Amino acid sequence: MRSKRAVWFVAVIAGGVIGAGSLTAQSPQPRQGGPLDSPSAVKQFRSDDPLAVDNDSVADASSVKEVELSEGFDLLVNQFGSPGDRTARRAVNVNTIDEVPNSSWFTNRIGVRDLTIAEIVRGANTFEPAEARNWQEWTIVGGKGFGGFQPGFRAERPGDPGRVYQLEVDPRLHPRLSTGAEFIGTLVYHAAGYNVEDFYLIKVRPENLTISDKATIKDPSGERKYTTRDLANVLSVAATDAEGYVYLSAQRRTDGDDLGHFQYHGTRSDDPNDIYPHEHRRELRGNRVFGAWLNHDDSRALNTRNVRIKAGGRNYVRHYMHDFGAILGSGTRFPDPAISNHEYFIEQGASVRQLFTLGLSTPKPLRTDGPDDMPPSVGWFESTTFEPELWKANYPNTAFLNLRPDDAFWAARLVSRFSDEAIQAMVGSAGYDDPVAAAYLARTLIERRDKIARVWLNGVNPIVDVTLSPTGVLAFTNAAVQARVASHGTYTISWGRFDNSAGTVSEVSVERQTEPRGAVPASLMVGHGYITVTIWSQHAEQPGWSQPVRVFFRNDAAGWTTVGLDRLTSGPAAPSQ
Amino acid sequence: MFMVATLAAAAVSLSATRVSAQATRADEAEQARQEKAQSLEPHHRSAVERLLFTLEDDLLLERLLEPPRGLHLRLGGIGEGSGFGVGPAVRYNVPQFDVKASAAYSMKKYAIGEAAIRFPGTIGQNDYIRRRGPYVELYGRWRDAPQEDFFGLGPNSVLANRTNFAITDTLGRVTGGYQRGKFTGGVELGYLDVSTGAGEDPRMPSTDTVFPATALPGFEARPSFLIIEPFIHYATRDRARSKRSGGEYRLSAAQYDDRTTQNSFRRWDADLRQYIGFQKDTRSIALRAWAAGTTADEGNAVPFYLQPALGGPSGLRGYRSFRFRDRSALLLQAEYRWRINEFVSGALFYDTGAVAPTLRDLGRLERNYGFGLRAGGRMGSAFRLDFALGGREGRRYLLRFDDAF
Repeated sequence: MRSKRAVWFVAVIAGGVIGAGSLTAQSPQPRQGGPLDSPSAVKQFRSDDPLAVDNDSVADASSVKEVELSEGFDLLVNQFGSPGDRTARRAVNVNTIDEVPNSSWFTNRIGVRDLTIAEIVRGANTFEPAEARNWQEWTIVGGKGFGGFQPGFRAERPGDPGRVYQLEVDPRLHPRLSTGAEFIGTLVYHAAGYNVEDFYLIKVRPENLTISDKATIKDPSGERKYTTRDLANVLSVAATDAEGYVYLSAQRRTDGDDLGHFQYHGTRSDDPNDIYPHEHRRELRGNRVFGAWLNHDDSRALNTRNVRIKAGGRNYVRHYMHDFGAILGSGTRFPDPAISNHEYFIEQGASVRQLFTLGLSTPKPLRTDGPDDMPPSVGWFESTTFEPELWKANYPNTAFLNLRPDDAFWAARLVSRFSDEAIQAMVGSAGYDDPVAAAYLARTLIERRDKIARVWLNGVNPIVDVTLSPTGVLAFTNAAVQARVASHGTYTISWGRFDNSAGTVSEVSVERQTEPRGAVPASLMVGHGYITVTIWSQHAEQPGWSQPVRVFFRNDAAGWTTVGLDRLTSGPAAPSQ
Repeated sequence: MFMVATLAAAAVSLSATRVSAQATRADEAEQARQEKAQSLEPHHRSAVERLLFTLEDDLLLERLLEPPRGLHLRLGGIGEGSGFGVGPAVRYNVPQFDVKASAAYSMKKYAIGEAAIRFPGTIGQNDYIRRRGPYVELYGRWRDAPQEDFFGLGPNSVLANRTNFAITDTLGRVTGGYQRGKFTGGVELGYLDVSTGAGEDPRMPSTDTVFPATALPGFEARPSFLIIEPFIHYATRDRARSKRSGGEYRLSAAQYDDRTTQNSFRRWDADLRQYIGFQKDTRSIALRAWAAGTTADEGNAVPFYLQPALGGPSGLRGYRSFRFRDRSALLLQAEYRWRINEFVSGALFYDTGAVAPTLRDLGRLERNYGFGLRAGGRMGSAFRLDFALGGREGRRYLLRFDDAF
C-alpha cells in the first residue's frame, strides 16, 4: 500500500463536497445480462474451441513504457467518474465453455485440478517458505521510499545475492496482523490462478540487520544516507516475539522490468497484447469475489503490477496482483476499521444520511456486535455480518461494478474449491504464534467461503463439468451441491442437433431427471457434427437456478468434446416434457 | 421454436471480430494483436493526473510545508486573531538534533520570527514512535501583534468596548525534559520581555484611549520576566490528530518573576482532554476541561495580556478571540463527532466557560453550541469549519486548519 497521505490530500479536496456533483454510489450488486446476451450473433465454433490458452505474448511488447499511476487520480476517477465501459455484457476473455483461458493475467490452477496442500502453501515462491525461517542475515540497501504505508526497508541476503527483497513489519501490538494476512492473500490468489510475487515470512533478530554503506532513503527533502536511526524508527513500531525476534515479511522482486500498474478499466495503448478491456476481463471482475472473501478493500490499480518478461526472444507483459497487506482484518499499520469493506470511502446516499441524521443512522455492520474473540493478530475480520454481495472495496472500479452473476459464479467456484484443510494449512503456515488467532482466522475464512458459495453459486444455474460419454451418457455436476450449499433439484434436459455453419438448432427431445445425468437420443449419436443440450435446474429454494445452461458437444476423432457452454442470464423457461 | 431463435444468436465469447469460419480462435486473437501492434500509442496521462502524480511522487506538499530538511513555507501559527500569515522557514533534522527557524507576516500586520534547536532530534518520530529519555530544547521568539483585541477585564466586559492594543514580546526559553512512553515531564526556564502600545486597528479605538491605566495592569510597564515552569504531560490518545479514544492531560505551574517592574505572578494551567470512541470508533465524544489561574505576588499585578483568556476558535467558539480575560478562567467543552464518510466528519459541540478573579468567584458561565464539519482522513483533519451559535453575541463561523481540541 502506498502512502495514504496523497490520497488523504485528494480526499480533502473531494471530501468537502459531499452531496455535490456526481458522487458515485454505484451498486455492488452483480449486473444482470444486457443486450449482448440477447440474440445478436450467430454462434460458430472454431476448430480450436474451447481455447485453453490465450496466447497474449504473441506480439512483441518492447515498446511498453513504465507508467506509475497517481493514487489520488485513481481515487478521483473511479470514485467520481465512470471510466471504461459499463455495458452489461458477458466477459470478453472467456472461452466458449465460459472459462478463463490461461494467459499473462491468469493461469488456471485450483479451478482445473485438485492442488495438494503442499502446492497451495508453497504458492509462487521460488524457495520453500519453511526455508525462509533460516534467513537470519540481512543487509539493508535502502528505505522503502515514499510508497508504502507499512513501515519497512529494502534488503538483500547472502543466500540470494543481488536480489532485493522488501521487508515489512507488523504493528507492535499486532504480530502477523499485516504480514500474515499478506502471506495468506498471496497464497490464495496464486492458487486461484492470479500472478503473484514471491512472499515469505521471516523472523529476524535486530542485530542481524546490518546497513550497507551505500544504503539510501528518500524523504520529502530528497535522498540521503540510510542511518541506524531510520532502522530504529522502523523497529520501534514493529511487533516482536518473546525472544526479541522481529516479525517481518520478505517480498522478493520478480525478474523483469517494472512497468507500473494496470487499471481495472481500458487497455494499455502501448501494449499490443492487451486487447480485452480490463473491465470486461472475467478474472478482474471476479476479483471482487476474492476481495469479498478476504476483505481486500484495498484492491485497486495501485496494488497491481505490470512486469515485462523476456522469453524466447520476445517481450511481453505479465500482470500481477500485488500487496495484500491490508486484507483480512489488517489496515497494515493498525487493524482495519469495522466500517471498511462495507462502504466506499464516499457514498452520496450514506454521506447525506449520516450528515443529516447526525450519525444516528448507523450502518448495519456498526450496529452489530462483532465476535468477542477477534485476536490482535487478526483484527476486525468476521463472518457474522458478512454479506458477500454487499461487500465493497475502498472505492469502486469498473471491473468490479461490471461483475455479473456468471462472473461471480466463476470466481465463487474457485473460492469453494479451497477445502477446509487447505484453508487451515494456509493459515497454519502464516506464522501466527497465537493458536487462538490461527484457529479464529481459519474458521472465519471457512465461514465466509461458505457464505460466498451460498450466494454466488446459487446465483445462476450451477451446472458445470458437463460431459458426454462415447456411449451417450450425459454427466454433469451441480457446483452448489458439490459445495454443500444446496441440494439437488430436478433437471429438465432438452436435446438438439446444432448446425455449426448456420448456427441453428433442431430440437429432438426433452427428458427430466432428479440426478445430474441424462442420455442422448440415439438419433443424435449418428455421424460427426455437433449436438446441444440445454439444462434447466429447478429447486424451490433456489430461484437463481431458473435460467438454463446450454452446452455444445462436437463429435470428432477424440469422441464427444464439450466445446461450448452458455450460462444464460435471460433464457427461456423450461419446456414441458 | 425458441431454441432455434435463441441459439442462433448466442454471443461468441472471445471476440466481437468476425472472421472466416476457417480461422481458429487463436488466429483471430493473434490477428487483433498484430493489428494493434501497428498502431501503438504511448500511454496518455491527463494534465490533472500528471499534476497529482507529481505532487504525490515528489511529495511536493510535504516538501513545501513540512520537510525534514531545507527551506519551506510556513503557514499561520502566529497567534490567535492574527489573521492568515505566511513566511519562510528552514529546518534541519538529523538524529542528533533538530533545528528549525521561521518567520511569518500576516494580513493583519502581525509578525513573528522564531527558532529552536532540540537535542536529540525527532527525525522519523510519529504517533507510533515516542522517544524515550531526556531531551533539551532551546527556543527563541520575537513576535509583534499590532492589533490584539481587548474588551476589558472580568466576566462582565461588554462587546461594545472592543478596543485593540499592540504588544511585542521576545521570549528565550530552555526546556529540559524526559520522555518515557506516554509520559513527558520537564521544566522550562525562560526570559520574556514585553512591551505594549497603542493598537493599530483603524476600525476601533486603541485600548489605552478607552480604559484607564488602573484597568490595564502592566500596560504602561515594560516587564521582563524570568520564568520557571515545571510541567507534566500524559497522553493515552490513539493518535496525535483527530483523536477518538484515550486521553491527554497536561499540568503546569509557572513563576513569572518580573525583573524590572511590579508584575511578578504565578500561573497554573490544567488541560484535561478525554476521548471516548464508540460504534467501532466511527463516533466519539470529546471532552475538555481547561482551567487556569494567576496570583500576583505581594504588591504586584498580573499583566492583563498574560491573564487567561476565553473566546475564539480554541475556546468559546461563539465569541471573539480574547473576548474575556481575567486572572482565572474555566472552560468546559464537549463535542460529539461522527463519521460522515472516509474524508468528512461532523461535530456537534457545546462550549461553556467564564473568567473571574479566582475560580471561586466564577459566576455565570458563557456558553455556545454549534455544528462543525471536518475534512481529512484517518490520519487527521486538514481543516474544520465550525458554526457557533447560541452565544450572547451572535453567530460565528470559523475556518481553521487545526483540531478544536
